[in-house]
Amino acid sequence: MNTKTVAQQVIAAAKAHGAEFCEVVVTQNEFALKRIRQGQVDQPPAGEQWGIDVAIVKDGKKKTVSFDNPLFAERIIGETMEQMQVLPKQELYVPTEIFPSVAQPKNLYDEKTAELNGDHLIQIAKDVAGKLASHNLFLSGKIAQGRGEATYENSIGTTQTARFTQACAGLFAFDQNDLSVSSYASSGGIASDHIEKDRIAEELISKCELQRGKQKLDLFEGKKEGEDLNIDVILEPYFFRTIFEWLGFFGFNGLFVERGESFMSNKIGQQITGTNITIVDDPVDSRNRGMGFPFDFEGRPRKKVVLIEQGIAKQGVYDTALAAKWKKEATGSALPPSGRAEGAAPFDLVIEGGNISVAEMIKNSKEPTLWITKLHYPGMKHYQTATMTGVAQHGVFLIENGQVRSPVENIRFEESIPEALKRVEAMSESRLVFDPLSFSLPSGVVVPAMKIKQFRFVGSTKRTL
Amino acid sequence: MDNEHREFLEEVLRLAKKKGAEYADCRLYPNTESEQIKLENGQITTLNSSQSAGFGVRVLAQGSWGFYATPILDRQKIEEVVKRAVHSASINATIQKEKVVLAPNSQRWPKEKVGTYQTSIEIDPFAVSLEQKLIALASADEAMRQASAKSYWRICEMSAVKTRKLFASSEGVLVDQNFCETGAAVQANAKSPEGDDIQRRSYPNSHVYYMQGGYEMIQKLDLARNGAVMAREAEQLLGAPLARPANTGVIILPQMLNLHIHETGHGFEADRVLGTEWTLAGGSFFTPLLPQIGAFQFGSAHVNLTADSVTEYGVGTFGYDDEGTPAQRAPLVENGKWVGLLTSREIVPQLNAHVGREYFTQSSGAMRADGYASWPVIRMVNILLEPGETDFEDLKQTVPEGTVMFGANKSWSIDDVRRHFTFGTEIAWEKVRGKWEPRKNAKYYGDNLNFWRNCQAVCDKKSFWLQGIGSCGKADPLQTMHTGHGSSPAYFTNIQVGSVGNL
Repeated sequence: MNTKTVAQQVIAAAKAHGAEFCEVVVTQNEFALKRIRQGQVDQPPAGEQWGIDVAIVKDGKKKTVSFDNPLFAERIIGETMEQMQVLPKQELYVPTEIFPSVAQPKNLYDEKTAELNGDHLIQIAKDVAGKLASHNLFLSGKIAQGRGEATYENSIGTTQTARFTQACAGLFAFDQNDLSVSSYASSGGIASDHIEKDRIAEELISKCELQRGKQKLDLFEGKKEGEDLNIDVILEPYFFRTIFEWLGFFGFNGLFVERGESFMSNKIGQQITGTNITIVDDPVDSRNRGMGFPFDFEGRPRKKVVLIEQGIAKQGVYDTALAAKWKKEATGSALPPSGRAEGAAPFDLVIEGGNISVAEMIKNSKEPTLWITKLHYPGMKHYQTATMTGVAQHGVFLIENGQVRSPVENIRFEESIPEALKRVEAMSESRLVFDPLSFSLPSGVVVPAMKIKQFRFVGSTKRTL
Repeated sequence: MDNEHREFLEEVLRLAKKKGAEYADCRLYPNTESEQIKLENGQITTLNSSQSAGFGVRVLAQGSWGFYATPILDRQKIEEVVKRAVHSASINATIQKEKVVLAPNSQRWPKEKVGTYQTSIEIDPFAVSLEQKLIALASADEAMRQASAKSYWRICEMSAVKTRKLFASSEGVLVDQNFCETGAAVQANAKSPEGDDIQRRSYPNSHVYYMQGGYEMIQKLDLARNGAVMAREAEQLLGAPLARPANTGVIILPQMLNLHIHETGHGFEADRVLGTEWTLAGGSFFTPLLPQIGAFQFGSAHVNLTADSVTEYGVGTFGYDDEGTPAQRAPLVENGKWVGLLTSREIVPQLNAHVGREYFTQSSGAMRADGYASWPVIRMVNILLEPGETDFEDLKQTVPEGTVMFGANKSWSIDDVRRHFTFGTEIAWEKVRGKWEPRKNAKYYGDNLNFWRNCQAVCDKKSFWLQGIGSCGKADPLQTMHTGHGSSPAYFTNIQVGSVGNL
């Protein structure tokens, strides 16, 4: 049993019950994750997962059904077709275009990673923990790997299959004697060899060392409640991954664009960020380490889509039905059948960067500047302006005269992201950030670090009691 | 419990023991069914059914945990799943420094006892015809459409989920539980003629509302009548002023306060307190305070927070948690003092080591997984702010001019130790010359200890409102859990108010 045979079984069952159109996405994956606390495995989630997501059309009626047990396929399709008899007729878009099958991308699957050797994960944990221990730091976080396969098929003849592997480490270091000293680094890709354990260890150690023995500055100490702080920032790719994942869904999603809720609504063709900002959705960008999936969830082969070019809003992303409704071009961004009411999404965002390293940005910062590693708990405060909030954590530093002066207490920003992207002064090279919360299909963000003028902060974490 | 499933569970446990597990448990989900229906502007946009089945095996071997899960509910699969779980534990043991120790169950499990739980329902939501459900949603949509011409985007949705969970452990615990949850919501979005302002109102809340019960829970919501109110309010908000920045008194209604309690409640999860959740959710400001539990002043004397897994209708209500601990009411804050945490069996001895005494005697019964495939973690159950004695109408009359009252939540974020928060709401009202005038894009923000310590009054049980939140994210891989929250309107002073989107 594989995803293709299950997909064929679903299509055959639907046709046998008289379906006029049927499409199905079948995913199967196995993964192992080691959740580490204080250098030992605290939680070891692992398993085999299936996802079967089907849309059926008959007599002007449509229903979707999703299930996780491939053995139930025929029964569930039969039941669904029976339930459809009582449905009212709906306004439907039924696709007619047959897409050519795409070949398995060579770099989407790594044989060694597919072995899912748990010993390898433990060895990475041991190696990083060992390096941290020599600096009186302990390791927390997670290391994971997985393999899987996805098939799309429909009853008019589109058929796509691809298999993949993925591996990542999202790790934290804490001081053995002072938990307020902490840092974060992550690394990953299609292969377990993409986990750059040495870089992770080096980043974790160096950022903790910068905090050691120093009182964290609370930049809101002495400020009145409600008083803001505007200060230059250097934001690392880890921080931006979260920001752009949110913008991907709530900003570039064609449904949001057309409905008036996106920061791009009514602004296509206009300058909405600085001219140094170009954002694309690109499954074959070499910097994403083969992570791009070759087709979307309606089987359309994916290609590069330019979303913002030199600051000008170019377009949102659309599935076939959305594109037909709004007279746009489909972009290969369809969600699975049961999720299409939520619109469409980019899967492989690439934010073009520059050539100034974070070290150079720090050195060049003459004005007080905050250097921020990671973002916690993002929230969209206002959709039309893409005003977001969140808290900087696990490595926040004040830079003065080109040098790190002090660690800084966690601090909350509230900022319109497109407005902030008009004030980008410097960018590093873009690189893949991949620290996923699910192992269904691989998807990362290629993003640079950025130096931004006068970012807005509204409060800080208090430790006083 | 039927013999077929019982034998399946017993086979898992027998094999786990044979392969070297010191402890094992198995959660078996024979069939979980759900249904989601959504109408947007009167058109069906979502009509989805889901089914799920499978089993997950957790073992303790060589003092370390192992786990594996599969949707293939086939006895032929048991050996492979158990083997993988035990193998995982043996690998993990190579870096284990402290062996996992489970606190004893609160009571010895009687031989042959099967613990059971069944949601009490009047109308099976899966027996109600699709036509009837669509009519209910379409009626609500039409009511919103008629109430406001500016309601350009209207959503009416409902869902139901039925879950059977079987649990067995190598300690002889055997549990068979059946749950039924239903949920529904309506939402009206109004847009200004220029398209630069969109205001939304949702009922009963902005997060799809869930309760444990049958279709009768949806009928009680009266979606059509309340949908019309929402449409009118969304239109009204287009012309309302922004909330002005001020440090002032606020009344937080349950539609917002329940989420504030939720975000605060995460800080009471003992796994966060001990540092397991850094990969996703974060930590807790309680970590360095553990020796002070029982004495630390968390809030004002009006604040009583309880972790309650027995209250009727709550989505955090059950008979037994996912390691067989019975449901209970566990106080977290009593008269403002911090007295408890949400715990599991494993974490009790670890906590006591940090507290420095045997403060915790048993699990609070908070281990929950969002399905058979997920590793159970400490989760909120129903976290309740216990009602006080103030009448809501009296409170509104007696609070000073300039007080701001916050309604349904719209945006939320809190820092990684649950101190600095910001919450935005769909609607707020400011008290002006004795009247409550609407304000849009309002937010309140600041320090969470300051918030709870400045709680001046909690309204009485007449205005208590229990709701389920259907999308609480925690763990890694991410699990989405339903958690219950209940509160009455409450009054707080010295709170920073502002607005967003006014750039």
